[in-house]
Amino acid sequence: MVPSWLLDEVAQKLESQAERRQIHQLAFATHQHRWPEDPNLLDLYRLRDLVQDLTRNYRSFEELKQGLRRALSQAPESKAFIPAARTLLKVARQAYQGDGSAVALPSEASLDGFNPSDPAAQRLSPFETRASDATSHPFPPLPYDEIAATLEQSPSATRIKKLLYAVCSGEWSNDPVVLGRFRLTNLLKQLHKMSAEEEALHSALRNVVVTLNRQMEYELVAQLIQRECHRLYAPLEEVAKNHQPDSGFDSAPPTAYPEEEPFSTGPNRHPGSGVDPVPLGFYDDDDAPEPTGVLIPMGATANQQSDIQAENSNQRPPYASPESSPSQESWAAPDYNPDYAHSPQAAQTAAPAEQPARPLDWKGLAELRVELMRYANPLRVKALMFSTLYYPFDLNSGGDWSKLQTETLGDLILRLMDQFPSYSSLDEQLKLMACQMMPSDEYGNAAGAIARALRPFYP
Amino acid sequence: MDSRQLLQQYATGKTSFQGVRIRSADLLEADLIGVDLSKAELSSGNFMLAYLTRVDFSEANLSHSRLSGANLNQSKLIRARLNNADLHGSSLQGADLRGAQLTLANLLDANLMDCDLRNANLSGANLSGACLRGANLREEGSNRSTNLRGANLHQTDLRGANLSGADLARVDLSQADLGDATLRGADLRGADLRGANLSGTILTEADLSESTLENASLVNARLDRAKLIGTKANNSDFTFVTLADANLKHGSFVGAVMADAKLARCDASRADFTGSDLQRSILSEGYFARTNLSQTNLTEAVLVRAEISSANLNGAKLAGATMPDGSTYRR
Repeated sequence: MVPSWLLDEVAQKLESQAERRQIHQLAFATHQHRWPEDPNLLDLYRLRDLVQDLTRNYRSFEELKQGLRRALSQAPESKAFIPAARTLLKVARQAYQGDGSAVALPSEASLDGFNPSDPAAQRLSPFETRASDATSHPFPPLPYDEIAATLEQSPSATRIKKLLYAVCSGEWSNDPVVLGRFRLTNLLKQLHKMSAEEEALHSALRNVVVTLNRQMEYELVAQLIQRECHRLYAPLEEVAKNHQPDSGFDSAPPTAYPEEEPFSTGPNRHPGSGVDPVPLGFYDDDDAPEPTGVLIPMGATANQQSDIQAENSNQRPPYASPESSPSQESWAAPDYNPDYAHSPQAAQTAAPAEQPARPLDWKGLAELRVELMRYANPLRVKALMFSTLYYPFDLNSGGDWSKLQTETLGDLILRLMDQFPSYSSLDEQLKLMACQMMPSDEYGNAAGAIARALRPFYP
Repeated sequence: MDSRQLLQQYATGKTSFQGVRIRSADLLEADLIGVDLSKAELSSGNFMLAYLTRVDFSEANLSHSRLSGANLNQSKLIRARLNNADLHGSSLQGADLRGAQLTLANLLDANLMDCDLRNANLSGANLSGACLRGANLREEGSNRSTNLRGANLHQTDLRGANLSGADLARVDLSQADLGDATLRGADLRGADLRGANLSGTILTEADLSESTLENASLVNARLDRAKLIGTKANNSDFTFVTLADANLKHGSFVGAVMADAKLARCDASRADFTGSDLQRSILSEGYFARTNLSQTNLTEAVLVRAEISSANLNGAKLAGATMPDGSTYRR
């Protein structure tokens, strides 16, 4: 397998070429044995991934040449792709050794067995050499703060945090209180620690994104994270060049964030795998079910712990994870406290609720909609939800109608559950709002139907 | 007649208003339960949140009407004109909409459970979030199938609906629930079915060519003799699916789960199955000319008499597979 830093280098060089589009098409055609008919198809395949697959499928440089030749022979306008083929071969050559075989990482299967004296390994990125300790290396400090600052500027900052939180914790949360406990910088560190290679980072993000309903939106968020995190995986020289030695980053112990709770190992960790498998299923983004396991705050006081436990008792149900791992140390965060993780409090915190609520997955949402439509007027249900979430809906306001048109009943249900993490507060607000709307008996009926339908989704 | 007169007469007990003409009627939240308004001229009227259960609107003209939130359960709307009508959040459960004209109608979050929509024209209609559970959209007669061309069916609940022979070409069915629905012979060419639930769906002889099925669930679906030419179904779940005699030419099934699938006699020439899971699948007599089967898991698959001589099997796992000559692959 060609090391990731080398793949990055090759992909970057290819991306910087004027004929990059043709190169991308050619790489696709060589790999897929067909030319892309749909121009948008290429967007689904990153050039880096194609290059990686090509080096896997074509074990020698000569084989790659043959593959390109075959693809060219089937090209709609083969002459137009000859310069692209030449560039591709020229650049891709560096992924093959002198004997023409693909450059391989000496012990990629296990970074623990990595031998720093190996000359090939010395070219690894700083992170790769120190996969087990991302925060205390002698190399130039890694730019987590800079990346976090850039990401925080993004209009999708909230989604970025949600996605990073989901990747790092194996759980989804829409709760601002939960998300607020974690600094983006530390989530990035955790993500970096979990993903020894850029490819692993890609997979980790992808594994979560594919479980979301709003995949398109989160795909873009994932791409943004990958783009920004790319420098974490850049070759050593690049890191050294791009970062000032006196930036102070990571040279001191991590700054304490008043309310931050470093990750502890929840019940769904998969130690040592690099990427934690996130169970597949249809769950929405903002709308995703609440976490399975419980994040245990590090160094939390007894009061804090009980607060968190209390809060978790209000959370929506755990996302049923098919597996769990008893061994957790290797996943631990830098300041992971094994004593706490194995303490009775931790076991108690991570234990499932006595009356587990039904997970609000895609099927659950469909059933919920049916239930509401069967027992209440769909428009009144929507108007009441709208009023509870935003402001009293006005039947005579064109603006309110327009806004109501932009959100489906499903969207409103998820938003409502997001805004009201406890059932009692939801029920109370719905009743309160229904009393203020006319005819109040109709809206009272709608409130009752909503509360009844949503009840199984709360613990 | 105007709206007020209609309501006054209804209050006195009259229920037959067949063929009345009330242009731009104002019947907001009106109670007209059980009246006969068949063949009535009621276009551009306001029936918002009205109680219209069991009303007979057969052949009535309700085009451009505001029917948002109206309760039309069990109403008769046979051949009614509802073009451009706003039925946002309306309830039409069990309504008879046979042959109704619903072109460009807004059916956002409408309750259409158990509706009879045979021969209805829903082209360009917005059915986003609508629930069509148990609705009947089956093709009736040779030329007049239910028309959903260009309709928005994103997240629509069509569980158990009968859509046999329906024209769903290029329709947005992303994240729609079509579980246990019948789509026998339906035209789904170029349809967007990303993330859709098609578990247990009958798609026998359906045409899904050039459609997008990425991340869709097709567990236990029946796709015998279906066309999936150039279909993009990467990362979809085809577990236990039946694809016998199906045409999968040029399709993309990268990373798809096809364990225990039945693909006997299928034509999968030039299709891409890279990294897909085909464990225990039946591929007997399949045609895999220049098919990319690299990195696939073909453990215990049955490939008897399959044409795989030009297929790319690089990195494929074949342990226990029954090879084209009937021998068992061991290594």
